[in-house]
This record gives sequence, structure tokens and C-alpha cells, in this order.
Amino acid sequence: MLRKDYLARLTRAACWSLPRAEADEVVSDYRELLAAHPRTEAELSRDLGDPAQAVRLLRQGRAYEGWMAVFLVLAVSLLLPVLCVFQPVWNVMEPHCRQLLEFLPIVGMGVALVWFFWTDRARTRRPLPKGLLPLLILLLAAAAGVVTFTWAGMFVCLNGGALLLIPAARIGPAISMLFELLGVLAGVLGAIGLIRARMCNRRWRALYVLALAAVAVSVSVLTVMRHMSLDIPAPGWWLPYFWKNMGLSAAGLVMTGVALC
Amino acid sequence: MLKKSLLELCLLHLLAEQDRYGYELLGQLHAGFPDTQESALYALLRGLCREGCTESYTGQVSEGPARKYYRLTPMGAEKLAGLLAEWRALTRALLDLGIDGMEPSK
Repeated sequence: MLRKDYLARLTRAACWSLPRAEADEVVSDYRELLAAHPRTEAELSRDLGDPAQAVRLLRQGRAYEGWMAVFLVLAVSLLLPVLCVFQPVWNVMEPHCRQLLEFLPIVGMGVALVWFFWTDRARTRRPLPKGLLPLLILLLAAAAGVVTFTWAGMFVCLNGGALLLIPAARIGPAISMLFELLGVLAGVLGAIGLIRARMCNRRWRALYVLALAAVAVSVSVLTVMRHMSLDIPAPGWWLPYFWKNMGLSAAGLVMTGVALC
Repeated sequence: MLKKSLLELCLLHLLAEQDRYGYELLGQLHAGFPDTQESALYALLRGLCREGCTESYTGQVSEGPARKYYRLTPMGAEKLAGLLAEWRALTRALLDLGIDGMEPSK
């Protein structure tokens, strides 16, 4: 393991386990230590040991446990709703749990905004991280595409015909599948945003927040679709759901904007 | 007296002599305790900083880059005195038992 690799591994472990300011200080100290005395690979492992082990020695119980608790809340807020976009998981859930799932992402958004701001408040604002914007655009475009397909599909279902060669009878399952895919994509991107917000730059939390909004909308739409009755519905039945999803989307976009700051 | 306290005693003693920069401090201690990795010594040094026993500052040497130096604080001097008293009591107890720690003379 060369000096550069050692520092890279140490940086990753320190950023994950230690508060931001302390991680920066530790990395800077090790950089100085390694620069003062160039060592061979064998000397590095003998004198300094494994980078992850070196960071474990520096962990402070309460600070690390606090981060682990927050990480658990953030991960569950994202992953539980993502799992529930799949019908088999959905079927085994109790009805009151399903209702809670739609609001779990809101909890995740709030905790992410407050925690990353609080733990990183001493730092000066850094430029927008490379790669964040394209991923935000990708997620927004995917969500916009699925919503557009859903509206067009509803129109086709009411008036007959086909949409993109999909017959009216197959449009319902197609919409359901698209929302499942959107949920999975949001889950993956949200996990990337969460990890990078801790390791690199707090502004990555914007991706996590937007992903949560996409997951919340997916779960909400799938809930409606899975509860749909075959009876002729009253006119305007969809309006409460429409406003609920508009609210979720608007809250998600506003919070994404805040998270980018 | 645990090895951790012994290493802390050594770190504080070295800093009581004079301010030292990180590599010098850890290098000297590592030479005396080759079985203890520098990362463990560094963790002890940071622990002492956190407790307020030592503090760091950036010092400029005539040639080369700026270095981070460590110095003893009044709290550190107090801790050093406590650890030294503990060490002396331990040494006395061992001597009373006839253990002087020296190699038997041939």
C-alpha cells in the first residue's frame, strides 16, 4: 500500500467515522506524518497499521453512536418505502404501516436537512460537487417522464386507443411498473446522495432529499393503484390524491433547493 | 499502572521538556515502544488534546513547510505530576517485593 493509497483509505474511514472538522484535522496530521518520513509498504503497515483500525482508535463513543443513529433513521426512511414499491413486500405489510410509509420520507428529509447542516456548519460553503447536478437532472427527468406517461395513460384509458403501442388494457400495469422502477432508481441515487453527503460534501444531501420525494410519490401512487375499486368511481375521485402528490412533489423540490444551499 | 497511562506519562514528559512537532514526538516514543504502532500513539496524543492536557499550534521552521507543534498545558502538567506519583508508588511497591526489573548480574 503506497502513501497515496494509505491516505485515501484513511480519508474515507475518517470522513465516515469522525465529525467533519476532526476528520479534516486527522487527515492533515497523517499527511504531515507520512511526508516527514517516507516509508515502504511494509513499514507503513508495521508502524501505522491498517487505516480503518487507526480511525477506530480515534472514534469518540457518543459522537459516532449519534451518527450511527441518524444514519439508521435516514437509511430506513429511504429503503423501507423503496422495498414497499414491490407488490409482494407491500402485501405482507399491515394497512396502518402502509399509511406511515408515505410519510417516512418526510421524516428523512427533515433529519437530513438539520443533521448535515448542524454537523457541517463551521465549514465555509464549498462549490457544488461535480456529478451532483447530472444526477439530480436524471432523477427529475425520470420522475417527469413517469408522471407524463401516467397522465397520458389515464387519458388513453378514458378515451380508448393505445399509448406508445401499449393497448389501453395494459397501461395500468405499465404505469405500476414504471413507478416501481422510479422507486428503485430513487433508492439507488438516494443512497449515493446519503453516503456522499457524509463523506464528501453536505450538498450531496440534495440528491437524497429529491430521491425521498420521488419515493414518496411512487409509494403514494402505487397505494392508490393497489386499492383501486372496479366500481364506477365518482367524478373527481382522483383530486385528493392529485393534491397530495402535488404537495409531496412541491415539498420535495423546495427541500432539495434548501439542501443545495 | 496500565500501558496506556505509561505511554501518556511518556508523551507528557517529552512535552514538558520542550514543544515538539507530531512526527518527532511519535517517532521518539515509537523508538522506545516499538511494539506500539504510531497510530495508537497518535490516538493517545489526540485524547490528551481533547482532555485539554496538550494543545497544538502551527510553527514555522527556517527551512521546509509549517509544522504542527504540541505543547503542555497547565492541566497537562497536573496530569503529568499525578502519573509520575502513580509510577513512583508502583516502582516502590515492586522494589518492596524484591523486583527491581534489572537483568541479573553475571
